Amino acid sequence: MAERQIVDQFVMDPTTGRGIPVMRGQVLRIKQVGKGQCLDFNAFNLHDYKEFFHCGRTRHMHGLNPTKGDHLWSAPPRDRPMFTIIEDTVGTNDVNYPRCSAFLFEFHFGFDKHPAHSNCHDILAETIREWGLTPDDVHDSFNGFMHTGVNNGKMYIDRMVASAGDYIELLAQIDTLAVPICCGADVMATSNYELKALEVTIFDGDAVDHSKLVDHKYTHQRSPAEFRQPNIKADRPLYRDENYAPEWPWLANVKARFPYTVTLDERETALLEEMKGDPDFFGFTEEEIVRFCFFRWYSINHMAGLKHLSGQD
Amino acid sequence: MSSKPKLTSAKTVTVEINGQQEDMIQKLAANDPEMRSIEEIIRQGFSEFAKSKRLSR
Repeated sequence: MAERQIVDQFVMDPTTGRGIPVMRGQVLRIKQVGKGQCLDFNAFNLHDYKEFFHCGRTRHMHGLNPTKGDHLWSAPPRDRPMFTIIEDTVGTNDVNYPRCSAFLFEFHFGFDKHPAHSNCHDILAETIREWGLTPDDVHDSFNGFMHTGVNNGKMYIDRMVASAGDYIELLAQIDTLAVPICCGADVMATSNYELKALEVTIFDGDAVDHSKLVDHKYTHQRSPAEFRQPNIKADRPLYRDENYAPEWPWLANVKARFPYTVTLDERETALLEEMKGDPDFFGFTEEEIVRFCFFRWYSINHMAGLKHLSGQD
Repeated sequence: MSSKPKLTSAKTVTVEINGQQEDMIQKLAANDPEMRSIEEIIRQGFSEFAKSKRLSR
């Protein structure tokens, strides 16, 4: 099989980054050159910067630690894969932690002098300035190689486990401005308390890569052409639109009520009686119990993707 | 001692759903190989989930 052709390759110094176009079908590889450095990664649609990477949607689709086979999604209402993780030699990535910022280092550690302590928000902001974007355009990062977890509802940062030579590969699903940076957190465990460089390589994807491009289009993955307000606001103060008239096209359907009378046999009636004594259904009417059980059953058996039910995924 | 649930009389329960929910269940009913009605599908869902919940306790 023919090797991929390298389009660009460079090493990012610690606490620096670069904004680089990565076109649909190209592959972005981020490789460790030292003993474990956290990558912070922003991404924009190259042709419409208002479409950008969204941790929240990615978290919903793949959980807190996306890895090989998972997509990096854009924000609603675009809601489409921007990249696919096609290789991941470590398997510790995070979409739960927000990007670190100068404020956090001042709040947590007392860094109140100028210049600010190195931090991902400011590194990302300085990187995208090359493309005419502002600090307000920075968004929460795909935190590559970042080793995290949740315990009793509290997030934690565990020690970096990546080492030299480890890498992740991201296949671009749309034309993007990819913004990889080296995380600036040196007083958290993120990169084992030592900042390092990362190597970035962009390849033209080969046939195997291109077989992983996705083309499905859901009806409600919306583009600006479908927005009722498609124009980007150019000034900062907010003004009310005097002509605004709200439209809630789903409201009538939500308010409509359709009764269905379900006949339970003796055994099902006994089950319903049991459910009425279940603490989960305290205060529920019989109707509410039947409705709840039905929709839970539907989610378990017919919902696509992660089910977001305890013990089901 | 038997662990079987106590048998009681059959009963009917009227479940109200909204239009969006009805659309979803209609789609399920339209593709149901046994051509069950919406009422029968709701009953099946209730019964299967309630049984599994009981078993998991």
